[in-house]
Amino acid sequence: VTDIIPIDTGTGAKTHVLIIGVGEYLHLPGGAEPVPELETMGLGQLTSTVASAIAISNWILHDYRNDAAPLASVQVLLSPSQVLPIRGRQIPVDRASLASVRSAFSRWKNRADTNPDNVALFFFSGHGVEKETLALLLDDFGSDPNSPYFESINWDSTYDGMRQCNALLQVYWIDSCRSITSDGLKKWALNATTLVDPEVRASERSAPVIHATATNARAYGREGQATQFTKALLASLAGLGSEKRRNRWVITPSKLFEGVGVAMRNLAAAEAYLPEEDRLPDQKAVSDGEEVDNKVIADVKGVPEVPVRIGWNPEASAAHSVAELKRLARPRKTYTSSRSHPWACVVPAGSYRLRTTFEPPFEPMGDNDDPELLLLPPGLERVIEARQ
Amino acid sequence: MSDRDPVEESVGNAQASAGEPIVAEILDAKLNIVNRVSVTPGTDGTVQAPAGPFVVRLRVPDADDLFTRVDPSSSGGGSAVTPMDVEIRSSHTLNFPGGFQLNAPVFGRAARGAVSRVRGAIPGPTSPQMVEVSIASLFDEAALTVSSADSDRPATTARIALWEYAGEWKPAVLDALRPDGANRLAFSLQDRLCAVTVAGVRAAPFVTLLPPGEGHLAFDEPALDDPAPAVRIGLRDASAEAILRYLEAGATQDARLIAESAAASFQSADQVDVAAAMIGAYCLLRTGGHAHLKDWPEAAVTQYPWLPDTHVIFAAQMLRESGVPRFGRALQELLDAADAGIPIHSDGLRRLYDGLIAFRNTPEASDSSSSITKVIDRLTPYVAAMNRDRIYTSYYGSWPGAPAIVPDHDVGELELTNVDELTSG
Repeated sequence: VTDIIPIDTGTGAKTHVLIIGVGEYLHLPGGAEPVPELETMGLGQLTSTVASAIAISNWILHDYRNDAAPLASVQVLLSPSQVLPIRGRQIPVDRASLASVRSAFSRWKNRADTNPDNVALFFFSGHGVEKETLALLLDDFGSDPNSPYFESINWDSTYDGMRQCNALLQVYWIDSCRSITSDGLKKWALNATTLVDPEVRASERSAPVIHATATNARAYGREGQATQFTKALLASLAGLGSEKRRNRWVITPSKLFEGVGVAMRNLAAAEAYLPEEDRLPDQKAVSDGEEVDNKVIADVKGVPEVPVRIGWNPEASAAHSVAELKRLARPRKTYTSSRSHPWACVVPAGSYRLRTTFEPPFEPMGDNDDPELLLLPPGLERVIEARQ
Repeated sequence: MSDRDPVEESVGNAQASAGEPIVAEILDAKLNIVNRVSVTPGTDGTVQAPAGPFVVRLRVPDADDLFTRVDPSSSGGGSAVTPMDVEIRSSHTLNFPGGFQLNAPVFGRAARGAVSRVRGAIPGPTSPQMVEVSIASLFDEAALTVSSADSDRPATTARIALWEYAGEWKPAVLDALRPDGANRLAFSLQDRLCAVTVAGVRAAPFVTLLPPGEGHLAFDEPALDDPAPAVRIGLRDASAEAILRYLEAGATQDARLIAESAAASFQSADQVDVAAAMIGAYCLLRTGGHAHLKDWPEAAVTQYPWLPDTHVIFAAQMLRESGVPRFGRALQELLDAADAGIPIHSDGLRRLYDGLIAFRNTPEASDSSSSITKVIDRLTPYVAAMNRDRIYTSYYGSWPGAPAIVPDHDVGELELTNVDELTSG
């Protein structure tokens, strides 16, 4: 089973989603059917990728809203296979093998094809190897050591091939590494599988891509948890990546990427509080693909929360200072700093007054009262200068 | 604060350069985005704003946005009841540590002189790592003294060589390069396809293709986890630089806004900076704005036949034509691009490669399928080796004709525990 909700075949524009999470690789070390001849190139089993795919599935099922293109189908492929509790039912999902991915991808493309105003959303989390193309490795990767990349998605050609799909908004989130393996170096080309052949016809579409990491770089996650990229993506989808249009807060491609960047920086900053040996390396998401206009990916529920981070210079002045952030719109509320550096809080987007008071021996350097501070996604960082 | 007083505010280290256009969003009183426009600090312009109070948000790439609230009713002119034209004037001055100023626009209604504040902070990126560059020889390789701002990383020497494409890559005399300030080389490359190689103790040999015309190269030491030297190319054209900054920040639609106005100006200009025009053209192709290019791509192919990117841009534009696209001519342009060499832009190399793959099994390719296959085979090592995240085609190698996917020396690996790496080499 790949369809995890009943398909809505009603008229009008719809959203169709395909989610792939690969953690268990059958033929890699630790897998159920290891292939001794396969040069495993250091690739192994993963857990964070499946956790990521489940996290994105949950967001789609519980939080996704698009008034212009309501959710109509969700396909999920996970390796290892899982039974997902969905809307009171236990739904088993198929493994992410090449055969099942080809089949699910074809259904997804055909569904999205039915209306130009449809939204097609694709998420992949698993191993990735980049050479002349980015190969997204599926769970039966390496079944034949003579052509190990056959069971992987040729991302570049598949992306080009999706130009044939009529959906004018196609959204792609690729949560994988983009580095090369020693085995991949020996090959002229990876020869990964294209899921839809590209054609010369080059119709316009908005097809923004966010890669979890830069070319030649790796992506990271902690065992059993969603990856850093997926965490950042979900934070951005929750509102960091939104803007307001016609009194609706909406997620758009550009803002979504901006929000992902801010969320990843916040995650990286949090790593600094961990012991050095437990920290994940820095990772920077990359935006790619075509984007003919800033179409709406999703609506945000309510008013988005905006992170605010205020620091003091010199840091010692924070203990002698209080910052107050007053919401100017109703319901009015005041947020007060805790005399520590930095002060971080999360507030609903809107207009605020920021006022800072100091006690001796410090005094403000310059204006310490901002009567109207606009706090909009993806948030604000500010340093308050003081002198003795 | 009086209405027309220039206000100076320190806004941290800046990513924007003086004279570069920036994108302004007009928000209504409820913070809805109602208009977006490209503005160039220091010049005047007009933008539509809604009735009543509104907010202008300056989108500085890779930095916090700057906000200005305009309330016509409190600026001495009574309340505005209809949408109005806002005059953008240049009387704000924002000071940036590091020595330059950005003249930010002041927004208000000319007749009423409504002016509000521009306030915000632009967080600082890293400081330049290089402090000294010297050319040792003008006729062989240049030697760069690279000093790091980090006292734990002593000065080192990098080697630079210039290459010229004429059917194959050959050494070029270095008189096209000259020192240009503390950490830069200026280049002037007319009517030829050139590449630069940079190598050093901590920097693996690395190739970067150079745009034609005049510009500068700045070199940073490689990051600790990446032995590729950071080669930054700057052009004289402020709009092109702004487009690149927005694209790098992922603000694709902001980049398009600037590219559209840049395209309008290079359609009417007598002399076009082709390197800058190509940046605008690639941006418009990526964002569906190819119609703004009008006849420029075809003219560029005639004027710069030696420049592979002009052929790629023209082919891409033809493939997006409505009606009956000129498939045969587009294929010929792609083959001409490959004949001319390697596209200077990463985007161009990808478009060339992907375009030929798409053409391979079409009726248009029936007479030339074997030559298409040969070209694809020739391009494959470049596509495999190029760093897709760099604007200009770049890859490891000591000679531009021998692209390498990995550097010829190892870098230190981090030891990680309890971590999922989504692949590892």
